[in-house]
Amino acid sequence: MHNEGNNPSWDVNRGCMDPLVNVRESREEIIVTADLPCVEKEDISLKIEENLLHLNAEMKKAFQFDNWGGFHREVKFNSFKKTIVLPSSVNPATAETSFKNSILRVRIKKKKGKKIEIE
Amino acid sequence: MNIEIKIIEKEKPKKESTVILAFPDVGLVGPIAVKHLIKDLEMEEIGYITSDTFPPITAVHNSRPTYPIRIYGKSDLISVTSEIPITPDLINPFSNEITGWLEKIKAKNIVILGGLPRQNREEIDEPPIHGIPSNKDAEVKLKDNDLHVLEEGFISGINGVLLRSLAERNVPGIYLMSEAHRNYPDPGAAASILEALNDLEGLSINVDELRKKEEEIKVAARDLMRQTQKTMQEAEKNREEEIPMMYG
Repeated sequence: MHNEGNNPSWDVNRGCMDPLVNVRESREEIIVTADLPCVEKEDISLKIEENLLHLNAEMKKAFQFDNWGGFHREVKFNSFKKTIVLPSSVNPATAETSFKNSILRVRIKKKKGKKIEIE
Repeated sequence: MNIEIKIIEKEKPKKESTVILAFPDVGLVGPIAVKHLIKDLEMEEIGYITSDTFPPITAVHNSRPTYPIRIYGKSDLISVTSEIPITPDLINPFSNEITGWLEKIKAKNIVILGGLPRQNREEIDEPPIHGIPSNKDAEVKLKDNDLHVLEEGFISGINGVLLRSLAERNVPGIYLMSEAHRNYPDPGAAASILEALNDLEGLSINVDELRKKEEEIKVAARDLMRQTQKTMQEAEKNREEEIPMMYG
């Protein structure tokens, strides 16, 4: 499972929140899921590099937690943003995605290693 | 180390009540369901659970400090819920204290609410409900309500230990589970479990508002879910998806 660490799950300067994310790895592929409530499929942007997945999703309405904390209550959160470090190198061209009931699912094939003959 | 858990009653709970227990676990099904139940049935805070070994966290609600694990009551219905996960080192003393308290107040019906991890949960709209009884009476009750009774498997974490503790004392209790996202807050599963609870205990909790606000609840529950994920890892929650060695 992806380690979320101890940092706050939001950034008041950018008005964005960390989505909840999970990463699973099998022999052939990596499966990333993310919970993106209040998001439409059209507003999700994904960029996959060698072993990074950049996720950006705009929410259909801004969230303001009127009765939470001090300065926080004045902040409007309107997107989810996260860069996920993948456990292996992947081939971005193989990515398959689905989005249903707020769950984004991304399956990406791992890069194949080169077979070495024993001399 | 001797861990002392204290249950403080601000008001005496009514004897022979139905008690609903909900602690952070799979999909936060229990806490989301009970938070809604408390609001819908206008239950009042009647006590709290504390310990010197709990994390030093004070909840603030309605501009007043309070305890993260609280007891609510109304008439002959009591609910216990928590805003912090119960860590593995606290599970046994916590369960023993709660079970002793349930015996002391002569609880008539005990229902623990939780989630059962379901892969690809987003593919199903109405998650099925399952139950595990602590004794024969509870099993009959589940079957009379046409609820599926789990026969084999593992339960890790607070809910399983609580149920086992009830079984050891032959106290009738049911662990009611809705299939749910393991690592994401699941208000839909919470709504389904409340509908099953309505039938099981003759309650009339309206879940329309809960279903309408599913996405907002998911946003607000992210941080408790993150904390709960860590605790579930420590409690080897993944073992619930293992196939037990069955024979005979």
